[in-house]
Amino acid sequence: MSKTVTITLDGRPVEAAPGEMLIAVADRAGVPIPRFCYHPKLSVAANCRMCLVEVAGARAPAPACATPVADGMEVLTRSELAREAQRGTMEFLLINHPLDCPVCDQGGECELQDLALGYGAGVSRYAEARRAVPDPDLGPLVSTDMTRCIHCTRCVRFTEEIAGEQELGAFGRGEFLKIGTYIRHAMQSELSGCVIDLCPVGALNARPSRMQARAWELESRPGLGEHDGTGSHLARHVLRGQQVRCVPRAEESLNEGWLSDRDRFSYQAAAHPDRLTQPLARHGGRWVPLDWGEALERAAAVLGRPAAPAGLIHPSATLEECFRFQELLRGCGARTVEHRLRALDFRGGAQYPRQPELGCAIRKLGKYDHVVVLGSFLRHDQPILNHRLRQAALGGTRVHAVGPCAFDWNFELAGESVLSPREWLAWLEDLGQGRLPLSRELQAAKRSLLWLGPLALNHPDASLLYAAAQRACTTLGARLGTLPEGANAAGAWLAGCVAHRGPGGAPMVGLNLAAALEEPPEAWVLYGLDPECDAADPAQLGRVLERAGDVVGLQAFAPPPDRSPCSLLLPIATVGERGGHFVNLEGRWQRMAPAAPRPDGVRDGAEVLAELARMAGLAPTPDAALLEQCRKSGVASAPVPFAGRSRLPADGLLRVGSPSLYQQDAVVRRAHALQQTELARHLALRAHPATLGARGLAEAAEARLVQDGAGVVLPLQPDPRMPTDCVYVPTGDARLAALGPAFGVVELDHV
Amino acid sequence: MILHRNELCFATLDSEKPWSLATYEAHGGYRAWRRLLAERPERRDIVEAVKQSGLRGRGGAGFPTGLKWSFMPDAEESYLVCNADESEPGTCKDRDILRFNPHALIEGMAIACYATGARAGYAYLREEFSDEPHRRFQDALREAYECRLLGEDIQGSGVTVRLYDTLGAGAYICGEETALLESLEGKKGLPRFKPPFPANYGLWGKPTTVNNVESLALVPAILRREPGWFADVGTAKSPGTKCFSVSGHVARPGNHELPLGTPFAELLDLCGGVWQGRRLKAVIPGGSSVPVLPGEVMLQLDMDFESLAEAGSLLGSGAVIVMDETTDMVRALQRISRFYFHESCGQCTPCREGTGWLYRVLTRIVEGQGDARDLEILETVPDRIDGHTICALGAAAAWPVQSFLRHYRSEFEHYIRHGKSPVEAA
Repeated sequence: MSKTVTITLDGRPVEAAPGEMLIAVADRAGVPIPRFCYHPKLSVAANCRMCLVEVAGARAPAPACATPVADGMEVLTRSELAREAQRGTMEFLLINHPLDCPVCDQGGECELQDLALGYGAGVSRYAEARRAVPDPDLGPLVSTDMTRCIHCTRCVRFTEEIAGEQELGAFGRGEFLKIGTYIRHAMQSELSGCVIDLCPVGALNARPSRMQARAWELESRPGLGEHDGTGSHLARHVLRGQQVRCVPRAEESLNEGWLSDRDRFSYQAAAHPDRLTQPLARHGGRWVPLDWGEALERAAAVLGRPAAPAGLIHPSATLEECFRFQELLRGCGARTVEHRLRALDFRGGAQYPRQPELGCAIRKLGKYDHVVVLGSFLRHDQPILNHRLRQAALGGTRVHAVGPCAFDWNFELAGESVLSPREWLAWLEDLGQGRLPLSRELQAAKRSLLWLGPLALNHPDASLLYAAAQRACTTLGARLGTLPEGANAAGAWLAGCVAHRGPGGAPMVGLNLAAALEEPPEAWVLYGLDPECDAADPAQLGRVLERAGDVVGLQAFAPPPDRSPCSLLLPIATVGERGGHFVNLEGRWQRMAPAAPRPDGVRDGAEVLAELARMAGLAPTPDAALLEQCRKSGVASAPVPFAGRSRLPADGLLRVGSPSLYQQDAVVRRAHALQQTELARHLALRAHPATLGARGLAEAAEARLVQDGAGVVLPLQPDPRMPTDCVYVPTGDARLAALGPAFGVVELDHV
Repeated sequence: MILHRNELCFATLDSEKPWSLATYEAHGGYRAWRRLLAERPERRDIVEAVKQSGLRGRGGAGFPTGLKWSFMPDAEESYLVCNADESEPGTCKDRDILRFNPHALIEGMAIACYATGARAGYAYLREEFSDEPHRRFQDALREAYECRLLGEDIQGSGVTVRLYDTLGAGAYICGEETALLESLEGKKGLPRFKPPFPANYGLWGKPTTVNNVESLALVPAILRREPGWFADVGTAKSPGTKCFSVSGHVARPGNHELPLGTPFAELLDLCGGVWQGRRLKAVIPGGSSVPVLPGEVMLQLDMDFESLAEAGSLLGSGAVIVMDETTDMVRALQRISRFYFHESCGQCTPCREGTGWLYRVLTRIVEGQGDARDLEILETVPDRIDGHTICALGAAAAWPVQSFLRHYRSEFEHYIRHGKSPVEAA
């Protein structure tokens, strides 16, 4: 049997796979067929009727999106029958479509506008009253102008098939068919912005950029996602130097054509009112502006002191920024350079590979029989990776989750173990020693993966968990992967932003962050972080920085002086303004150029670091050599498995948590629209009803979470599936800055 | 074979409690089913017998029933669905089968389940049947289960047939078989794109046969008598009998089960002729969606698939809507168009947008606000709907407009020119 069939497309022979849809064959052959409801990533609806073509022998025109090819089929896409059908559909689409193109954000990039040019009539024959449709409120991210809707249902199919939750539906019938939510609520999906791209008309648009620009005024510049380890491809749209919106670029092996809302809307932070646009020095209780020359000299003076500083850098810094950061700090004698800001356990450094790895290529996830995720709510930690895993799961990959609570996964897990963080180590050992049913499944499987998420990596026994996971993977023939936070965690390792390794993984003798916080140096340099949020123990870091002589912050935002521990602030470029490399979790190096210019007074971080190095009498590595140094392998010996004792408090109520979706980093925290979402605003404490009951809080709506003498009042979310010895509280939130370490012992009290 | 009026689906009609099991059995009911349970023939043989009978689907499309059954693969899980969502305006035959002879349907469904290898059968009744027709059907189902005519291992035969009744929610579109399946699955009734056809991908994605009430209710009678008898009734291309629902301007509207090929004039006589001694103007011979034909044409026609098709209309569901000389054809069409506008599911662009457009233009004409361009719209818009949609509702909305305009164009012109009805003026 032949593997291909041949059809005649407008008189031209074209090869196709049997059963392939006509429209896909035509697209490949470059034969244009108009369409609205068809989308290659969504199920076929065949409802818009725009892609009607003539199939020889058939009386009625056939929709190309739903007609499978057969050998010898003769197809005419521009015959009179086809053209008349296409013109007919276009007339129907336009009769009730408003003529508000001049004020519609979609104008100029509208599929209906484009096709109306080719298939529509100049004047409408429709003389009746036009339809007007009320607009549902879909929340702060997606704007609605439903009178423009052409009912293609791409958005409906997206929420069901890709986002994994039926958030949108088509209600009513006939002319009164309306797209909306089932019950009145905002869209909650972490991928909700994709409906904006999918909508062929201006019915669903980006709310943050509503009425801000015409499509043709925008310059589109390629960029990368800056908030997770996928390295999503995106385009930043810039109007007169301002980022106005952000859309995905198709990259089949990573984000396909999708984009997380976090990557899509974080650009707003670049124009946040707290944006730092000139160097500031603390003078009493005030910020005093400085010129750059003076600011650099002050910074150099801090670095030049005999007592060496310590440096903390956020893992969303580029490879170049990371390299320059450690080069400068180490050049000035620093023993502590670290990007793992939320980590509590720095033991066993020698057991880790040169850089964190996923264990597989993202596009190959579907080839794995099992993926075990320990300690991550992937939808929040890595939204696009979660989408890829979901697709894999729909295709048969069995996903097992182990975590401190039953997270709200958007696909069916093959297994879920809700375990207290105290039990994770034992669980991994059981897994490795074949004591779990899952052990046998993994052993029998051809390909399986075990991922350690941020909750495992930031666990007080992270080194033990990693060692146990590695042992389990060796025994079971699985591959081990880790899911560190940040867009460039892998790059931060390669650039040497860990205390025990330099660029390329070269071994170093350093002082790890935990030790540095115990015996703090006099001076600190912070790069791109919010110290009150981006720390394992914000209270402890706060105390240390308060007592430090000098704290230099290279950052994009200036908090009020009473909320910043810094003595000197240097304004640097942020989201969309930076050029450089990110290394994603697969180990893929990707380069981006600045998409938007920096505001006046703001400098490129890597350049500032190089300048400071020169001022300190160091010779900064040339750019080309910099990349080479990161790339070369500096890890000499094979990983040394770590053995040690648990440091997890044996008794007491444990606090556990990761940053929620929109508290991931300094940029996201300042993205206005994202912060307006229900997800960002709502902060709750999740606990087993018995945990609450034992403290007399069974009926309480809120409670005071007390840790190390500080307390924060939080709404309660009883969850009968939680373990009883811990409570789940998201981290990374300024509202929790007073509290002690994640995974610390806490108590609950009446308000 | 000579058959008189109401001998098959309506055979029990003149008896006391025509709907009861006893009455049905007194008329030979369940004989075919019992024989089948006793003899356990190959399911192929039953399909073959139904093919031989020449039975064509009585829901409207007239697809050969036996052939449809033969499409069913030997699947572990497959279903039979009885389409009792009788909604085509003018049609009320299935309602009366449910009311007066529900056991004929139950026996037919049981045989169909056996013949198609279906593990279960569902009767999907329109919501408007929720009172009497549904109650009678439910009672009959209960009787059949109680008398071990349905259920598991029926009478020790090893045959298991389970039948269920379900109610729709009042949408015309759910009479379209794939929308019906969606509705039966608990979803919104939107027609599915075909192919795949229900025989491959039906209820819950499993092979499914969907048959009309009348088609199924005829099956026991077909199998009860000697092979091939049914094909001898009616015409060569339209074998057997058909229930006609006659409504409109006749003296005695009602259902009549007659051999196919019966002259329309005879059917009209059975209904007492055109009421009030008026002249016949027009007839819609197969439910409101099929093309209208002028009265003088109809009086020359026989009521069968081929005669009506040749004359440019269709037998459809057998709902004969009779209009006398006083009928305002523009208003009649406006009313029909309103129905399809109201019932369009809205998924396909041409039907969603076009049905409302047609209704509004017609309304404007009726209200005396029409202009010459409206005729052009009525002439071209239906062509842009017909054949361009997933299901046949688009065509159903287009054909009346096309045919009314074809035969009664002068009335539309009169309305547009004078702003009022030509009938009232006369």
